[in-house]
Amino acid sequence: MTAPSVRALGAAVGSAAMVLAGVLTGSWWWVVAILGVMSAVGAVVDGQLAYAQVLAVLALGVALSVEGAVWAVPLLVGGALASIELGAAADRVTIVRTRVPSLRSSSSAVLVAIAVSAIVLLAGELPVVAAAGSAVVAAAAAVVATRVLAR
Amino acid sequence: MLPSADRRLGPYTVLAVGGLIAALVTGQAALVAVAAPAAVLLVRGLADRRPIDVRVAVAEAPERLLEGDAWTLHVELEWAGPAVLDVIHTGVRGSDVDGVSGWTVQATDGVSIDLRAIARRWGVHDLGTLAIRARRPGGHLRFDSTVRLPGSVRVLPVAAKLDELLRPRRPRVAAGSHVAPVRGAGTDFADLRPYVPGDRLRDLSWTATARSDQPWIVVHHPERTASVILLLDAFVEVGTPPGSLDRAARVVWSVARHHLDAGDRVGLLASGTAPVWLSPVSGRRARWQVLDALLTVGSRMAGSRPVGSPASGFGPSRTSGVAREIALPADAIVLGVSPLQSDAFTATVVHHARLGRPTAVIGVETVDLLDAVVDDEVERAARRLWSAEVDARAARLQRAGIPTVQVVDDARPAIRLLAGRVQRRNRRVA
Repeated sequence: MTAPSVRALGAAVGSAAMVLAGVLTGSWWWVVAILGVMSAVGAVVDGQLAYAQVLAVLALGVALSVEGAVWAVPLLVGGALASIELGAAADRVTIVRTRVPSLRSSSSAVLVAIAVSAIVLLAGELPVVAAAGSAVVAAAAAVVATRVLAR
Repeated sequence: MLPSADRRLGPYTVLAVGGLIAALVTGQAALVAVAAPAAVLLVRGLADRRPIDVRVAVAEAPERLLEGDAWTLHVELEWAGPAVLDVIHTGVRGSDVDGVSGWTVQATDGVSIDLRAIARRWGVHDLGTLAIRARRPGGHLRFDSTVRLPGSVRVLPVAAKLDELLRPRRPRVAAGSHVAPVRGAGTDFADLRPYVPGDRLRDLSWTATARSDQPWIVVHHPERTASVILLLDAFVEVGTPPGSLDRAARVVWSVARHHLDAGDRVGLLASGTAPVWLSPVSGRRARWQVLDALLTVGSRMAGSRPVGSPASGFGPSRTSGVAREIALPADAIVLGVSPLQSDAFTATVVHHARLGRPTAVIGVETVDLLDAVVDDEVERAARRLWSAEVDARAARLQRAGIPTVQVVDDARPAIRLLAGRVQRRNRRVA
């Protein structure tokens, strides 16, 4: 795939995650979702807008939690991280390597992210400190999984 | 080597740290689910932070090439651990890259790459530079470096095959290819004379003897060698390389090689911004010495600016007196090769002619090396003035009795013409 098409794919995935979160949260959270969509699309042109994108993800994470749609958090995080990963993959295109060679690494990163997020959510019934601890355990498991994927 | 981060590192850090802090502050467990994946990817990306120090060695490089030769550069890259490298080879001068000049490699500890090129222009050329971007597989850090490849490649000019030698007025004593005006043992017919006791029977002219009543002996001219001093005008480079110096050097090398093949001694005197003096030498080693001297001039001139730039200048330079100070052999033929852009060079050639040496000049045509003038009256006027100056210098040489011919690319007709003129002038002087 060419770099522009990979960036466009990243913007589309990131925007879709924001729109999903906006639909699920409703009310004034829509404004945050629209800002998230704009930052996901804008990141195609300027990578610095990825910071705005992650701030929108944090806000929408709170919104999903408040509005009782916690199950969508892994999708929101997965979509946002997929957007950033695809942008980074497109950045690796040089005059030597004119096409993005493989999205395997980006795909595995996104799958790991969704899995970790889901695991943490499953432990979400526990108090916050315990949840943070379980996240660390999940991170360690994800590192092991990544090593296995890399082989 | 300082690493630089790719675009994921900052956002992931913000998401991981900000998410965990926000989770602790708000008590929302869902924020941990937002932060944890970013933290995991962050840890994965920074797990191997060892710098990728790529060491470059040229394992196999050609030493000497001829123009048009294909050559391969075998480069070894070494580093520690697994890495993905983007490598671009740039800065090759005098050669056209044949095939790829960039590679993406994923390997552990090292890899070797081959650069293929075709030598296009004579001279001493750098092997170029490798721009390397390296990162660990899945890592968030990248390491950029630029490595200049050690060594150089020497591309030798291809000489035109000439069929005429410049004849000296008085050849040297050593046997060679030039017919001496004196008589003696040789192969060129000089005269017939009556037989006297002691003459060799092999010198008897059977045809002349058969037509007369007495035996006749053929007298020959002996073949001797000559000394040729080639004056190369390195005052001004006209046009962007390959420019006038390239043409001049080709002519010099063609003449030098032809005379060296004939057993003559050849010297080289380059005057101007790249002064070089090689005293007359002959034999097999002489060929390399002349070539090395030419390559030295070429590589020094490569740093000079083309004509029209402030640094070039048309007038005499500080080195203009060098040519006169060096003592040239009295019997040497002096051949100047020049684009006729320098008064100092013209004066040097005239000086040698006045000292009584057989002197000739090959003027290197340069008009075609300049950019085409479109609709600029001032530029056209400047060109006319420029051409007039060249004509004036050629006229000055002619007035001094120095045979002068113009050459564009093929030196053979010019050398043939010049050899005839030098021969006629030698006869007049004799």
